[in-house]
Amino acid sequence: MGAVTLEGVRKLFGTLEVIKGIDLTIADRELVVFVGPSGCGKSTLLRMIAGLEDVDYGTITIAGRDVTEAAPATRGVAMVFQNYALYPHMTAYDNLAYGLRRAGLPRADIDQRVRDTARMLQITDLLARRPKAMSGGQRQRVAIGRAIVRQPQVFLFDEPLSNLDASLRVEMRSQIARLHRELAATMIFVTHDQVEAMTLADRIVVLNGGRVEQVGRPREVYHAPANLFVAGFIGSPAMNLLPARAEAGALVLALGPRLDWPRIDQNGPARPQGPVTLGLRPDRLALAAPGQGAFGGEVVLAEHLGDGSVLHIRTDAATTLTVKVTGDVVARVGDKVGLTADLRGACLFGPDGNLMFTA
Amino acid sequence: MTVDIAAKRRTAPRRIWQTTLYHGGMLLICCIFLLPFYWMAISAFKNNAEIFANPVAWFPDPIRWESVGALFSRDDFPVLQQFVNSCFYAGTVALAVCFSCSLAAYSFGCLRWRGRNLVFGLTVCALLLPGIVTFLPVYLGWSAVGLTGTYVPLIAPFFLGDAFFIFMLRQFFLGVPRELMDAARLDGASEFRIWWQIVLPQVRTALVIVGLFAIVYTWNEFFGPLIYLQDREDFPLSLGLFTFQSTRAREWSLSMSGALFTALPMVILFLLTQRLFQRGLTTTGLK
Amino acid sequence: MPDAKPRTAGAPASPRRNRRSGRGEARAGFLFALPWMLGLAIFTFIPLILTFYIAQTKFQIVGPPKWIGLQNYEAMWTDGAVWTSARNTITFAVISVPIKLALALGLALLLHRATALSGFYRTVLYLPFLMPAVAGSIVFMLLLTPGAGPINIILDTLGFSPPDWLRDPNAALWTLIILSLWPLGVETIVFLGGLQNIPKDISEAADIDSPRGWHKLWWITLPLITPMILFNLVIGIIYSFQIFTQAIVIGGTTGQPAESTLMYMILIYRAAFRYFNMGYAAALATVLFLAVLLLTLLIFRTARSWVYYEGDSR
Repeated sequence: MGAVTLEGVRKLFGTLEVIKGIDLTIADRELVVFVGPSGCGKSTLLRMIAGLEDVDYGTITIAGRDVTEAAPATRGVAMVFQNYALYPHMTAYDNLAYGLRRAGLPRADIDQRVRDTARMLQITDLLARRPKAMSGGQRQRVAIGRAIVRQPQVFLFDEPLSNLDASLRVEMRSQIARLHRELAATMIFVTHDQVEAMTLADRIVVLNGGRVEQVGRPREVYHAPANLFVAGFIGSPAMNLLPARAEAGALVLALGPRLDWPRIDQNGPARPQGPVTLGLRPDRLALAAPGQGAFGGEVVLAEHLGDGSVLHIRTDAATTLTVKVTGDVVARVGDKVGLTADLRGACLFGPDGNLMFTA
Repeated sequence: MTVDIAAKRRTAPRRIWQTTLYHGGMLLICCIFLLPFYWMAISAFKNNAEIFANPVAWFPDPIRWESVGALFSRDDFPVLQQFVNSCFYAGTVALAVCFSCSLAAYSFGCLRWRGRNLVFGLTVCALLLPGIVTFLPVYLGWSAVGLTGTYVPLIAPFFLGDAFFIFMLRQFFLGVPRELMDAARLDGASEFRIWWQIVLPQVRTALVIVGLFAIVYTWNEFFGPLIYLQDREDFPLSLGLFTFQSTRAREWSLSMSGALFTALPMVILFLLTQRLFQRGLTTTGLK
Repeated sequence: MPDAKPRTAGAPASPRRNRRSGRGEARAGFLFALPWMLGLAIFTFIPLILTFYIAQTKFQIVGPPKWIGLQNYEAMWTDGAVWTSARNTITFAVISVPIKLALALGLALLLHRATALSGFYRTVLYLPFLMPAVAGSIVFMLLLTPGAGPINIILDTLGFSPPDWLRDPNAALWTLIILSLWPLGVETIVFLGGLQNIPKDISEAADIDSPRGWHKLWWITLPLITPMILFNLVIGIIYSFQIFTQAIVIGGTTGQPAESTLMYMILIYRAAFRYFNMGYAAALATVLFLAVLLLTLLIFRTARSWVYYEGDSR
C-alpha cells in the first residue's frame, strides 16, 4: 500500500548532476534509512520524494500512484524536519490540527486525532503551548505528532535527531522505533549517523555522490559491504583496509606479512586477479607480544572507553591499524605491540573495489 | 542500475505556463510603473502643441531638442543655479548627517550608559512624530534670529542629528563585535579614538548608504525650502520646479523638461548604487 | 590550617569590576549622544510643547503673541475649511493606506520568487520612490489630463469612460490617491524582507500540510509578517495624514477644484504663511497631532492580538 518506488531518478543543479540515476523499491511498512556522508544526496532524494525538489528524469511512485508531478500536499506524505519547522505563531494543538482543518475534517474528528496522537507521544500537556516555550525534544515530538496526525502513506524524516543532545537522541531513537511498530507505516529516515541507521533500519540504503552504493539489511551491510566505500563507511571504528596481492592460498599484504588463506584458490570462483584489498574489522585483530603475530607496531593513540579500548597502532610501514579490544588493556601510547589477525569475517575486495567474498 | 538513455527531461507543461504568465504579468506591471517616467521623457522632447495633439504620439516625432534646451534660458526658471543649490543642499546635509548620526548611533549601538534606552526610546518617538507639530515654533525661532531666507535653518539641525538616520545607522553599529572595542580599550585608546579609528571603518558601507539616503531625501525635500527661502535664485530644484509650474501652468513641455532634469540625477544615482539602497532598506525594515 | 588567613564568615568575594573603564564608557556614551539630545530637545520636544502654547495665543508675527485661551479651537469648530480638509485628509488616508499595503504585499509576494529577472523587477518597482514629489505630481497631472494624458486614452480604449480627473471635484481626490500608490518601493521591500525572513523549512512544512496554495498564504505566511504590516500601517498613516507636496502641486493652496484636494496640512500652511495667523495654525497642528497619536495608540493596542511577536514568551 504505502510502497515507494523510484525509477531512473536523476536530478541536476544546472550542469551538476547530484542524483545520478537511482532505482529503489521501498516496501510497505518498511523503515528504510538513507545514510551517507555529507553531500551524498540523501536529503535531496528525500525531498524529491516529498515533492519539495523537482525530478529531472525518472519517476516516483507512492502507493502505486505516479506522484512525480504532484504537489507535496497531494502525495500522501508527511515530513519531520531537522529543525522541527513548527509554525511558531500557533500552539502545539494548532500545529497538529492545521493540516486536518485545511482538509475540512469535522471538528470532533480533528480533536480526537490530535488527542490520540498527543497521548501516543506523551505531549498532551504541551498542547496549549507555543513552540518557543518548549525544549528541543518537546518540539521534536510535536513535529512528529504533526506528521502522525495526517495519517500519511509514507513518513519522511530528514535528520530529525541531529539537533538533539546525545541522551535525548537515544531516547527519541527508541521512540521512533516504537512508533514504527505501533503505526505499522512506511518510513524513510535520513541520517549521517550510522549508529542510528544500523539500529533503526529494516533496510539501509548507503548513498555516495548521488548513487546508491548498497541496499540491504543492516547485518548484510555490516558483514558483507558491497564495496570499499561501504566497508569504510559502515562500522565504527572503521574497517581496516589493507592493500594486498593474492597468491595461491595466501595473501601477501603490502605491509609485508603473508597471511595464509585457503579460500584464495587459483581455480575456484574466488580467483583473484590484480591487486586486492583486505578488509579487517578492528575486532578481528588481537594484541600479542611485540614481535609476535602477523603485524607489529607502536601504539600512537589509545582511546579508553570503559568497557574496552580502541588502539591505533602504527605499523612499521607508516600505516595505522585500528584495533578494538575488550576488557582491561595495559597498552599505552608508545608501547610496541604485535597483532594477530583472525580472518573469519574478513572481506576481500577486488581491483574494482567491489566485494569478492567474505570469509 | 538502469539508465534509460532515451528518457525525456521532465518539464511539466504546467510549469512552463506558470512561468510565462508570471513574467508576462510582471513585465506588464513594470510598464505601468515606468509609464510616468516614459511620458515625462517623451513630453520633454515635444512642444506644447504636440503634447496636446490628437491623437497623442507615443514617441516624439520629431525629437525636439530645442524644447529641452529652452529650459536653460528661462529667467523665471534658473535651473542651472537651482541645480547647484540642490547639490550644495543635499551634499552638505549628507555630510552633516554622516558625522552627527554616527556619533549618536555609536552611542546607542555600542556603548552602555545609564539612560541610553530612555533617550533611544525618545528617538523612536521623534521618528513617529508628525513634523507638522514641530515646524511652527522652529520657524518662528529662526525668524527671530533673522536667518530665514538662508539655507541655515535647513541644514543646521542635521549637524546635531536626525532620528531616521540615527535609527538606520544604529542597526549597522549593532553589528560591530564588542571585542573589537574592548581590545582597543585595553590598549588605552580614548573613546573618541575608538569611534574614529576602529568602529567607523567597520561601518564604512553603512555610512555610504546613509549618505545616499540623505542625498535622495534632501534632493526631494520641498516643505522646508518652501517656508524658509524667498529668492528664486536660492531655490533648490524641487522648489524651483514648483514655482515655475504653478505660475506657468500651460507650459507643459518646459515643465516636463524641468521634471526630467529634477528626477534624472536621482535615477542615475540609484542605478549606480542599487545594492546599497536595498541593503539600507532591508536592515531598517527588520524592526 | 596555619596558613589560612582569617576571613569573616559569609563574606562574598567581591567581583573585581573595572570601575574606571565602566565609568569612562558611560561618560563617553553620554557625550557622544549629547549633540543629538540637544537636537531632540531644541528641534523636537521643545517645539512640540511650544506649539501647544502658541495654539492658545493670537500671534501674527508683527507684534507679540496675545493669550486667548481656547478661542482658536472655537474658531476651528466653525471654520468650514477645517471640516472639509479634515474630511478630505481622512478619506485620503483611509482609502490610500490599505490599498497601498495590499498592493505592496502583492508585489512582495510576486517578487519573492528568485528568478533571473528578479533584480530587474526590483529596480523598476523601486524607481518611483526616487522621483521627487514635485516632479512626480506634475507628471501625473499631465498623465491624467484628458486629451494629453495616456491614462484616459488607455481607459477609453478599454471601454471605460474616464472622468476629467483634474477638474471634476469628485475625481480629483483620486488623482492624489493614485499618485500616492505609485511609489510602492519602500513598503514592498519591507514586506519582502519579512517574507525572506520566514525560515525555509517552515515554508516547506506548510507546503506539505496545505492542500491549497492560498491556505499557506493566509494561515502561515501572512501571520508571520504581521510585524511588517504593522510597521507599514503606522508609517503609512502618519505620512498620509500629513500629505502636503503632492496636494499643493495638484490643487494649489485652495485645493482646487472646489476644495476637493484641500488637505489639512495645506490649511495649516495657508494659515501660517498666507494669513500669518500663527496661533490658529498651531491650534490646527495640535489637533492633527492628537488625532494621529490617538490612532497610532489604538493600532498598537489592537496590535497585540493580531501581530506575531518573535522572541516574546507569552
